[in-house]
Amino acid sequence: MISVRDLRVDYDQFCAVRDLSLEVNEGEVYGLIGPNGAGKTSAMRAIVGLLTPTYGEIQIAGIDLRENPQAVGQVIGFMPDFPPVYEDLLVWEFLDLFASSYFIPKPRRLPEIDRRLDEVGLTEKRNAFVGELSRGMRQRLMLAKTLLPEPKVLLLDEPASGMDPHGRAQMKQVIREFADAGGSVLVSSHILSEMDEFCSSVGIMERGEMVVSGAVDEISSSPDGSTTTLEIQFLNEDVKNEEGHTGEDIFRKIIARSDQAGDPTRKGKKHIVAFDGGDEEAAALLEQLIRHGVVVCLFSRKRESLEDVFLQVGAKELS
Amino acid sequence: MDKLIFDNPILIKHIRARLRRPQAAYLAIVVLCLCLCIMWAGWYGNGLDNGVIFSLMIFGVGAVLQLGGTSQVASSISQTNDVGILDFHRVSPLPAHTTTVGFVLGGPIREYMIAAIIWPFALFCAIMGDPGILGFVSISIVMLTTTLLFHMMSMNAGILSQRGKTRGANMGIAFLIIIASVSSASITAGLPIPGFLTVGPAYAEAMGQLDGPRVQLPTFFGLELPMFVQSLIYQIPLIVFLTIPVVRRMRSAQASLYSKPAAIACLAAISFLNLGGIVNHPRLQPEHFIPMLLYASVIVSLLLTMAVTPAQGSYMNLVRRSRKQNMLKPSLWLDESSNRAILFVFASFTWATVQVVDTFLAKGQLKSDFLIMTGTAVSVIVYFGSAAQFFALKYGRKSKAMLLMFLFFFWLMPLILAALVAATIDPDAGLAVAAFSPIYGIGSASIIGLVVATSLAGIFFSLMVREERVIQEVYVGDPFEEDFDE
Repeated sequence: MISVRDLRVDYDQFCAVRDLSLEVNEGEVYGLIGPNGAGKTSAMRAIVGLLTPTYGEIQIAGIDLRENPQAVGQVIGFMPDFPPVYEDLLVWEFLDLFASSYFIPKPRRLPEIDRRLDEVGLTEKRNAFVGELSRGMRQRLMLAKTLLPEPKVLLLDEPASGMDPHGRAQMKQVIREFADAGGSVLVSSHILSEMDEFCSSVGIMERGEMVVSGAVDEISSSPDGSTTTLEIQFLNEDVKNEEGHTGEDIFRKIIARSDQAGDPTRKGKKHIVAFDGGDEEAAALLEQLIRHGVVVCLFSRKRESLEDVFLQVGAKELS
Repeated sequence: MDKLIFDNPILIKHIRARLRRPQAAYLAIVVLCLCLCIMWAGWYGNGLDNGVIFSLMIFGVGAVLQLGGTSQVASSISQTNDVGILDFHRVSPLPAHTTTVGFVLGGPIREYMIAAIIWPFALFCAIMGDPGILGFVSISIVMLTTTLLFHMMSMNAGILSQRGKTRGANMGIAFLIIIASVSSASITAGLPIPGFLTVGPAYAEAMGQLDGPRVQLPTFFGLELPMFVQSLIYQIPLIVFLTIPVVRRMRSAQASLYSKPAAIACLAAISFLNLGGIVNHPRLQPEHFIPMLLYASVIVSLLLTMAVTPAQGSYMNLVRRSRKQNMLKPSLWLDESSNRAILFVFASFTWATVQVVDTFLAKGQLKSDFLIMTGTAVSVIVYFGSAAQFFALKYGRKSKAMLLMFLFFFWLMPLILAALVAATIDPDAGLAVAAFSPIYGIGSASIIGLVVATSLAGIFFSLMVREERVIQEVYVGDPFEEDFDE
């Protein structure tokens, strides 16, 4: 649905985006991550057609942006980080303006507006002036405006900024439903924990370049090869068994024998082990620990968070 | 048509926002009451048939639409641009010309409402006596086109002005309206063209103020057309050429104001209109109007050159793109290409215009002075354009300041020095110094002016070409070597 190849954006002598390539397929939510000035917004603005790239190919839903920008406008929904609005319009009038701009037939406009307002939880504000809305409400209004023409592709730049927790949850649900219905979503955000929750793929940008890109699970394994970490805590660390081995000794032996587990490190009472096995291997390891008399009270398998990956990649790039 | 006018979302947005009840209703009642009072006073005074009340009403319509409406257009578009919502319209499938129509008609919608209330009273007065129904129609048509002309100027000011800085642009347009209105009184003498940019000539004609044995009215290439027709001949092409930059900017915030072919078409149209106004003028001979023609051609060429001169970033991007596509020499007619091709066309055009006048109107009788004037004018077009392009490529965002400094030293300083020299040493020496500046140099037909202009043209043209090479070789570098800008 979104296909970007060799995209480059320059501002005079400064290269903001360098040879960026990415693909977002149907039903996929792709997160663009990066520090300030990484080139996310420039890339987004070029993809939506607001910025003429130096070069590069951009196709949205199979339509070449350069050849037919108006047709791309019909299938794309764009939401910038700071929602600009006409403050002197009522909420429904604001949405009607864009319903008309996207050629939604007159008889369909008002029912469609009411449906979208309900979807983003703004029905009560239907007849309020846009200028009276809080920032979070404006963001919701903007989301309603973006969804109004039933686009095939959504481009969301920091969509949750300014929203309260309830609004964020609603927004996440709307994005998920959109993707489940076959839409493609390209979203940039600084709130990495949220991206972790609803993105199926992510790309990390640094200084205009795509440093890492892929499915979230793949990305999480990229820095050192391990896909997950195990947090293990047991009660008989210093207690010796009949053969004179402490729980700690048994634990270390079992971990050392495992092909999937790395060297354990301690974090308080917990032992942290890098683990690149799947569910079955994790279950087998737990079963072995228990069978050999380790009194396990906590066994938790955690995927590396995007925040961890981002910090590792970012640190590597900066160094 | 439906989307352009009746279901134009931008127009409807403005109608909703600016004609919201009850404020609009209160305003309508106030205007209606004022009109009724004026009619009442007219009825009991000198009557409604002598044109006084009609003139008052039409003046009111003009003031509301052309002064009030013009400032509304600029502020409406610039506010939308400033907050960034114009970007939403850019990415929507709504065509840019529909958005433009929405803003130009919607921005001053309240002023149109007031005018619509006043207009029927003016019609009633016109039917009762002067200027009659035909006069009313001709004045009304020109009133609407003039309004559209000023509103398009205002749109340009609004869409080009930096954040929140429309006040200066509005004052400039108001000043232009006043100057044009004052000049409309002088259509019977000298240069008629500025007057045709107002409703003045059409009004004067309809009110019978141009009748009389000693009045010599301007013609269009010798054709004695009604004033309101001549007004439309001048105004409609200007409205079209003022619409082009707005539509382009509605489409993309980075677009240059004109494509290069459109800029040439604009210069051709304006030169044609200029010629139409002064050729076969009852009081002007070729030797009178050639300097006027040259100054007009130079001014329009310089403005259009500024509109098509690419910024440093645009030119660099063009070079990068061409390298990526293995194209060593991109077309000179692309928006991002340097302005050298268009300078050649503008200069040739100016030269050719004078040659046409010499061949067909002066029958080859023009003196060598006119050759010097033409040579100077052509050189000024080349050196100004080359300098603008050189500064843009060399200094990037500081280029405007550099160009202003250049103009100060080469256009203004010679005049200041000339005044000092003339006052203190010798008046003739003062004139020689003044010839350094094209402001005086073109009209003076001075060899000094010609030498200075051609020298500057040569210097700046070579500087521009050198800077193009620097960008191609130093900044953008070899196509197969990467990371040139780190």
